[in-house]
Amino acid sequence: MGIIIAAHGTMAPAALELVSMFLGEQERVRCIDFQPGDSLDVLGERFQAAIQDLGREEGIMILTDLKGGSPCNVASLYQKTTEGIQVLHGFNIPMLLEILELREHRGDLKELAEAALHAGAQGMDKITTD
Amino acid sequence: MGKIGHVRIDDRLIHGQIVAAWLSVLRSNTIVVADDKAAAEPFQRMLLEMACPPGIALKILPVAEAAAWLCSPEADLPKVLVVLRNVESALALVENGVAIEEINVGNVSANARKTKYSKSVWLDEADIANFARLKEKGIYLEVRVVPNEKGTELFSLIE
Repeated sequence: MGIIIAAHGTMAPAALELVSMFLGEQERVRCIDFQPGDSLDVLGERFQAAIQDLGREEGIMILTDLKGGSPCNVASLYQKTTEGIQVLHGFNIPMLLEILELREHRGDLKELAEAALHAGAQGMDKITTD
Repeated sequence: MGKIGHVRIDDRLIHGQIVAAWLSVLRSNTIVVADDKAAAEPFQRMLLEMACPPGIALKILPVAEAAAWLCSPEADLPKVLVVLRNVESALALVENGVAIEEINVGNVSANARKTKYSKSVWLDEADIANFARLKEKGIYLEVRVVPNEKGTELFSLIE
């Protein structure tokens, strides 16, 4: 399964670099940045290139930062028009780790999406010391 | 009636800066996307509907229809955020009788013909001529990406 991480600024490659510290170098992962001055057309072209590069045969999971943000909006457009794509928003590191660890064992996008959302929620809490 | 809460030119239409930053300071309850292209494309409409946060009413209208609605007694203008794709739409709104005192120039994206005037505003000569027409009508043009930064008058960047 292919993975695309798409976010504002340079969060996407930063997140990939971070998880690579735990899981080693990752194959079939593409990062998409969205910077000030980038047009939606340019963003669309980046998605197009990443999707073509990965191929949709085994499915592509797209992780985006913010619901309503342009990376999520454009990714949603691809999910609506293209088979084999699942978009998630509000991604965090536990979610990304879960996806990278499970993707070869769980081929089904919907099932993996549920597991990722669960891991993402479990990964957020406060530390209690008393 | 009153005056319109906020008018923004932004070729990303509804996106992160709007939902995460502007809406929380503006206290708008309605977003009007005044754009012929978005109004005509079911796809764009669907995306805008997905991007619009819960609790905020969304109208996606061709510019002329948006102008008519904004001039109608039905519109609670101070609660309205108007989003426009480009300066042409802003000019069309004004020419259709909508009273605007100030326009927030947000994202006007790069292309090969355009020159960079700020981190998020790229203009060609036609854009500048259209902005000059808005300025002549007494409209204040403020370049400002997010609320939490100081605005700059557009022509102070150009001249």
